[in-house]
Amino acid sequence: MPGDVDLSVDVAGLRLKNPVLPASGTFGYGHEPGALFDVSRLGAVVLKGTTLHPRPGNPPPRIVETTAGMLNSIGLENPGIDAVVSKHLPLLAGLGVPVIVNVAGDTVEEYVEVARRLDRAAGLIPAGLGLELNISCPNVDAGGLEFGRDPALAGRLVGLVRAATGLPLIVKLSPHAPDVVEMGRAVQAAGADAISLVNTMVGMAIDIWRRRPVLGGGTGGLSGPAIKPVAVAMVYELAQQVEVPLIGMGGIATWQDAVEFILAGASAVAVGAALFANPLAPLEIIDGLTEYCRAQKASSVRDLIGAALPQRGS
Amino acid sequence: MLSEVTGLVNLETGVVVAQEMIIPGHFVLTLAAPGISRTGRPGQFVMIDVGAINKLPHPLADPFWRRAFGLYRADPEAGRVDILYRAGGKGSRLLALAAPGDKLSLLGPLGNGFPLEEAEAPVALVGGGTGVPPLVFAARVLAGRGIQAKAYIGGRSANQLFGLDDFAACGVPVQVSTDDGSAGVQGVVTDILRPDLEALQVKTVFACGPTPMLRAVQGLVGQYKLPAYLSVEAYMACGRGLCLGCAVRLAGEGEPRYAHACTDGPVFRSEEVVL
Repeated sequence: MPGDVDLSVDVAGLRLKNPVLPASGTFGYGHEPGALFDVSRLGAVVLKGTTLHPRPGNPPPRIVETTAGMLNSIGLENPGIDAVVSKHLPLLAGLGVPVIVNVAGDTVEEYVEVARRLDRAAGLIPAGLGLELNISCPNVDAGGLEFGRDPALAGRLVGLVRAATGLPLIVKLSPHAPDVVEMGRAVQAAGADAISLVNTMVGMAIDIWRRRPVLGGGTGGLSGPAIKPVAVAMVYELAQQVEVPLIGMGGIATWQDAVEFILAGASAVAVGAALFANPLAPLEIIDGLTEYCRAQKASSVRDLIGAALPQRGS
Repeated sequence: MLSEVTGLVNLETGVVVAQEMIIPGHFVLTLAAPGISRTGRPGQFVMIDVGAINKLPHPLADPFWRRAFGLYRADPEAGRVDILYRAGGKGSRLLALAAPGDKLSLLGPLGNGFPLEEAEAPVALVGGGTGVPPLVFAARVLAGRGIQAKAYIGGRSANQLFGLDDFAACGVPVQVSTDDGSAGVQGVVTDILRPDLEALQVKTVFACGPTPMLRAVQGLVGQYKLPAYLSVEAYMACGRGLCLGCAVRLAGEGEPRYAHACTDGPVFRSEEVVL
């Protein structure tokens, strides 16, 4: 009885038929044959971090497996916003699901210009085009994480992007924000429609025989189940202090993981690095969520959002 | 760049038919996997979810990634594929525990494979270590097409060599080098390849092995301006073009440019990559 549970959620003005998304950077541009399933089954498609100009990315090795996770230092390899708009977005137009473009940059001006160009492309995606502002990339020299560590800088950036586009605006936070609540309030006040968290955590692996860091970029971003409890705690904390919806991510590999984030206050969840070993993880999570709602006698997944928060407890 | 990914990439449940240790620490795993057996070509690889035997969820999400293995044999009639691997790391040691009847999630065939149709005879198959199994697969296909080939295999020591009989079995002669001289010529694989290049006994080179070996082969074939194809190694998370982790630096001046071993490779023209 697939129709008896309503999995739809509204996030940042986007209508998602279910709350399960791919995390930016783990799903390419959503139309590659490597996806291996019908991506229109997702709540939305989230594209890789996109900058104003093409970027070649960081020198290899860019990734390394760690205990229950991985480090990456891709360095925002991407073809630039114009290629994303002209080459990739048209291929996603017919999917019938919203598309969220992750936007990155070194300077405020770059972010704003990318947002302007996406704003002009809104008509390409009838189901809705949104922006996810990446102020938390640990793998680029300038910008990126700097914005994610300073609420005043982040607020100014979000305000200027807000002024440049009417598109749904999601701001992706770093787990390295000194105070996630202060950061969340700053970006909410500046006009964010939703907040996604968390991006990867800075980490390092060392090759003990070469006596050097494994990754070409030295440090990288840690993702995978190893960071999940950190991410759940940050969602739980922030959900009590902001009004905008949250998209929870960080180590989600199973439907049970997704449920934890939803109970902690996330309106939607993103599956990232777990997609690599288990390409069908998002579909398994959608199925598992449906079963869980049924077992909990919840007619809508919306009834479960934040159900573990103190003021909601019995 | 060589051919793009074929679009035939698929998820397939493989059933373990047999697993045999051929020399200490090295195993041949035979899987019933009809889909991959039909389309898999030499130089292509499969990614196995080594942490989820029989579809048990990863209990500790560890190992977190699938492991990539070059195809050693694909037999479409029997619907089987073989891989030959060394149980060295935690992923491959887990795989060595797989027993007949166990089910494994396979992703593949992945990558472009060796462009055997471009092979002008005589062909040199050059490699070592876990680079040997794809070369054996290539040798069988080339021999089946009546294309003359010879294998040049390097290793640390006689007891680390494997696959030599496979070349002989399909009529491809093998020459061996070892670091310690315990088998074949004492030295590295380029020491045994060089004389045949000088004697113009090689028209095409296919190589697969550790990066230092490939680098040496690249340097040597560059001197002789021979068409050469190298199957490169890279850490790989997704195997299908999504994570952009397996970057390989492309040759050229100016701002660095990268290809990706999983979808653009793993086989590249020797002159187009920086190792």
